[in-house]
Amino acid sequence: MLALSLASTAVDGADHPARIVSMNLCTDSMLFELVDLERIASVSFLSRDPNLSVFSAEAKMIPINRGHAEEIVALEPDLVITDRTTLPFARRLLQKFGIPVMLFDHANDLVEYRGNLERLGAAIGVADRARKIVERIDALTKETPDQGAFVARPRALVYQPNGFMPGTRTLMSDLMTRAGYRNVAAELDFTFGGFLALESLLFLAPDAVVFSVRQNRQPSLADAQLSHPALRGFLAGGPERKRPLLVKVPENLWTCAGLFNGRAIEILQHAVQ
Amino acid sequence: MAVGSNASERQWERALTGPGAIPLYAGLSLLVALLFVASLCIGPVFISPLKLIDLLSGDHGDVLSLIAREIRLPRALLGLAVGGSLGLAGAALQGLLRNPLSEPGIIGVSGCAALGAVLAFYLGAAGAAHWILPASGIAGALLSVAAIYVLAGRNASILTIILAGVAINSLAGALTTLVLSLSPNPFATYEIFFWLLGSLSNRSFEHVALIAPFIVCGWLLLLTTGRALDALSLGEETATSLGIDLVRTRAQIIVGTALAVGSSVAVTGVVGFIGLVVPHLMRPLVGQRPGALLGASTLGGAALTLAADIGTRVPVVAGELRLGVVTALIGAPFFLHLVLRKRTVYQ
Repeated sequence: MLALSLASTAVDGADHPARIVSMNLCTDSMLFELVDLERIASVSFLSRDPNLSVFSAEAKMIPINRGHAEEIVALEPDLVITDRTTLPFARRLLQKFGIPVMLFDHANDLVEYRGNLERLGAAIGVADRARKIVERIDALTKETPDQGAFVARPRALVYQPNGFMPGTRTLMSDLMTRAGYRNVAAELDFTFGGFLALESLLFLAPDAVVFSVRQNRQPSLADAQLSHPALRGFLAGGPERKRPLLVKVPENLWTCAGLFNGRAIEILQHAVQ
Repeated sequence: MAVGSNASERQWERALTGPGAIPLYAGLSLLVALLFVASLCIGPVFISPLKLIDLLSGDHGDVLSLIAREIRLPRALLGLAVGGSLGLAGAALQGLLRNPLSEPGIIGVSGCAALGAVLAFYLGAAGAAHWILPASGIAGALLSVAAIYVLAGRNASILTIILAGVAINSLAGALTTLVLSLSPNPFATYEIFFWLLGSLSNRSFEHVALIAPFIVCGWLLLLTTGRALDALSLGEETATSLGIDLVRTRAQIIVGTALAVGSSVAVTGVVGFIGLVVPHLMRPLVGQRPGALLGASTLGGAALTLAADIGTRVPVVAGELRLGVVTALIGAPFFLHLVLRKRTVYQ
């Protein structure tokens, strides 16, 4: 609450914040969509990873931060934006230094992202640009309603390293549903997600398995699990078992909400046709 | 002397094959077999033992047979191999160092094996050839056993060995965490849990095949030291006078432990407590003889690990419990009970 009031005092009137810092991967990409590079004083270090962000090239041209209060204070920003859940201690320190901090809820679907865009746009004086992006998102959501012929839809699940499966209230689930799938997580009552044993995956027998892929991944056991012989055997199909669909969506296209989510929807739609 | 040696040899053999040993081994084998089958049946999806025979007898290509053949069978086999290795290595090390606390976990053998495997895996070397992962685990284990033996010296006190081991173990744990923290893959940090607490989940036949040759060699080396360990329990000089080649025995146990424990840890992470608890549980059953303890601890280690691994599948948390957590939960109360009961013996 304090953060909000502080933010509004700084952005009231025509005096819009000129130097904005973002501390979270997803507020980073929202900022990249909304304003020109000159107004961005710093973004989180994660945005430089091309596997996580479609704005990695832009992020390499501006300073990055690792969410430490002192590095952000040194940048002397007019406004700091971040996700409500990240780095509470750093945020509190920034407020002590009198730097306005604006908090956003993580957008778990395109409609929530729309709201975040409008709020940030109004706060930093780019309401027109925000409205244009919102119109394109509205066009995208109109083409791809999140409900439809329910029964005919293929049952799909996103299987991430370590067996993590995103639940129904997640961006991945929203995009998957808009692309015409039914998230198996609903059958398990996974709201935000949970860990799914490999054998449970086989037993659920989804029609489609979606992988979130990266390039040049460094080795990890989590990734090794995705090439387990049992999973390969399942994906290969069997004599009396239909071969399940394997869809690969680049991780940077659907980790955070943004216009680029449209490409993730396209990939998912293309696979099912 | 020769007469005495023969007499004591006969005595040992009688103790090994005489009444008591056969029922013990039969009982332990039966227990291991039951737990092995239970390990194949129990999981998120229950498979009845009858259905299991059908699933394992041929490839049906269906989902249940994939679960039984490609997920649960390798997992149970690894439980058997890894648990047996830890129990056996614990018994052998306790016999060699004549110290009830020396076991792969406490003296840092498992920790160093994990460090070796972690270095090979996360720096990408393990991708070059399959054998590099277990070989790195073995190298790490070998270094630590040799270091303990050198540090401890010929007549080191129990305290020296344990202190040296604890130091090596902490160092290995710290370096393992460091390597994982430095990995650019964001998932690597979470895998600290795997390497320090162990897990059998999602292992496959590739892992079984990878470590089987090393495990077999390690077990052969360790299981054949029984006679030497019995003699050693009477003191090094007496053992030498009984015709035991101590240099060879030491080398056998060091290399055998490194092979069995090093390769196990390379695919399952550090599973604690098995090597410590099992020999203590078995000791009263075999009559305080280090030689006979080897076989019993192998079976006991396999049984405890299989039981603990079944325990990890109890759906109390999202995902699975770590194996090291369950072995400690099962093992620690047993061990405490044993320590309290035998307080006088250890004083």
